Order: sequence, then structure tokens, then C-alpha cells
Amino acid sequence: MRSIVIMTGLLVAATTFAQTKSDDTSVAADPATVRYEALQKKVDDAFKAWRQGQIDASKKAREAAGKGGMIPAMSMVPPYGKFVPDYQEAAKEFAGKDGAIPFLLWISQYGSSDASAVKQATGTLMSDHIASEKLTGLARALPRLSRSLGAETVTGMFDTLVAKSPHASVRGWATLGKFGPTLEDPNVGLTSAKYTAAKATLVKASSASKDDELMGLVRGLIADREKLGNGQVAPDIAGVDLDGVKFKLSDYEGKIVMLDFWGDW
Amino acid sequence: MYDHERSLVEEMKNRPFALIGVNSDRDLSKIRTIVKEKRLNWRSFQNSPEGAKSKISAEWNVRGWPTIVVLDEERKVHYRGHDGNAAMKMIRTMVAELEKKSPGSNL
Repeated sequence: MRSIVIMTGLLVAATTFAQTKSDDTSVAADPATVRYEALQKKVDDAFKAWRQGQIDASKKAREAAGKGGMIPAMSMVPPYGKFVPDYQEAAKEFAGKDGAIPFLLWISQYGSSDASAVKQATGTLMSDHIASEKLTGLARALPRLSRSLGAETVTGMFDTLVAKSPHASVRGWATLGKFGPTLEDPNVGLTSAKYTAAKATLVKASSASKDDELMGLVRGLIADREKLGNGQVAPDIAGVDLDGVKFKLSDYEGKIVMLDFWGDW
Repeated sequence: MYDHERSLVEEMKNRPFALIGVNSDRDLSKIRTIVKEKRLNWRSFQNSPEGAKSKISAEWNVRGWPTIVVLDEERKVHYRGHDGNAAMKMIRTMVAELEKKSPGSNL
């Protein structure tokens, strides 16, 4: 039952993200924005129908399996792929103009079922729109695009964004994409020159971006590694149990502890 | 997952192991009922008890539930993630090694 929490969370996050994107592009009612919002509505409707279908199918499978029975795996991939040609057509209509950017970003983020479409969209963003601040969207999406584009291409794009973007926010997100994995890599020691250099570069780039979300992520990454990474002594917890009785995590020193962050919802 | 956790606690009875929860439910009476009904045999911190300045999950940078952290006898982190099976496998190895290293460490 608890494994469903992550799945539901992902679905809610996907919807929220789609809605956020729609809000982001509703600054002015120019033809590209109108077109984007109309397309986005189609996608949102398809997503809602898909999600409801998943919930209904899951309920039926649960009933059919009975108590303790096996429930077949459900698809976790929303039906975004079929909309890629619509976004490509719109991007073509506004080619060379800022209006094309949201369509190209959408393909980059949601078109993973069509690797050549992702390749083309990211390539166009890099060649035609490198000076746009909206490329923060691309810099944020790139870490998930290694499978479609190849790790080397993604690394090259991070380098190009850092070197050529006039916007500190784009450079900051690209720097996170490039150096974040170094901070997370348990094989890179905390006292190594590689870790120290990656951390300094990231802190500098995120501070320069003045982007609260990026700065928070970088702070979290560093805390994860330096406070809670493998081999680090975990912070103590002094709290109360479900009956209100005080106790501490350090009461259990001398034992192997499985600390389980859980909830029943 | 409750079944796996309950079984692990039973399996590790009288051995140097403790399963400690950090529960995020807001309705304490509901969660107390669940603990009783599902026979949950481990102790849990309240993630955010009344009057607390911050949540334990926030201090531990927890971004998804459930999250599992495996600590050794010196409170050093050995695992942090969402894979319950991997964590349990690691725990069995670590407990056996600790017992070899310091017999009677469960006392």
C-alpha cells in the first residue's frame, strides 16, 4: 500500500508541473501563447483521463486479485508521445522567434518516447535560442535526457550553456547539471580536490543566479553529502514517540538501526 | 511493507538491531489505531510534534516517502534511499558482522 505513495506523488507532480508551465506562458496573449495554452489544455485533459483510467484499472485489478493476491503492474507513462507532432508543428510555425521556445521545451521534457524529436528540439533550442532566459527549462531538463541524447551530448550542452548564456540562472542550472553528480558520487571523497572544486563552482554559480530554488537544491545536495552521506555520523534525533514519551536516536547506539520515514496515507 | 518490517523486527529479536520510525501522519489517534490493528512492533518518533520548530524529515532532507536510512552501531550512515529490500539485506549482513565483532552487543 505504501509503495503507491511515491506513484501518486509522481502523478500529482506531473500535473502540477504541467499547470505551472501553462501559467508561465500566459504572460501575454500573443498567438504563440494562445496556441500553447490550447495545446496544453488538450494534454492536461488527456492526462486527467489517463490518470482516472489508471485509478479505475488499479481498483478493478485489486478486486479481481482478492486479499493477498498479486496485482499486475500498471503503466507509469502518461500518453504524452502522441502530442509530439502537434508541438513540432507549432514550433515550426513560430521558428526563429521566442514563441517557438515553449513548444521546443515541451518536446524536450515530455517527448522522450521519440528520441529524434527530442534531439531536434534540443538542437534547435541551442542553435536558435541560446540567448533566451527560458533555456533554464532546458538546463533543468537535460539531466533526464541522457538516454535520448547520450551522456556526452548532454555534458557538451551544459558546457555550451555555461559558456554562452548571458543569463546567470541558465548558467546556474547548467552548472548544477554538470557538477551535481560529482557531489552525489560516494566515490569522490569529501576532502578530494575534485569534490572541493565542484562544490565551490556550484555554490558560486547558484549564488550568482539569485534563484532561490536552485540555491536551496545546492544547499540540500551539500547537506545530503556532508551531513547524511555514507560514512557520516548522522545527526541525533531528540523527540517524542506516538504516545508522547521522549526518546533519542542515540539511545540505540551500539545497534544497527533502520530509520524508517513512514506515513499511512 | 508493514509485513516485511514486522517480520524483520521479529527476526532480529534479541539481536543488536532496532527499527525506529519517523511517522508523518498528522492524525495521531488514527495512527495509534493503525499501530494497534496492524500490530506494528516498532517505536516511532512523531515527525512534527506539537510545538516543534522543525520537522525531523526536513532536517534529514527527506524528499520522498518512505525513505529508509541504515545506521551502524556508531550512528554512521550506510544507506539512504527507498529500496526496502536492499536495506534489509544490508541490515542482515551488518547485524551478523556486529555480532561476530562484539558478542553480546544486543545487551
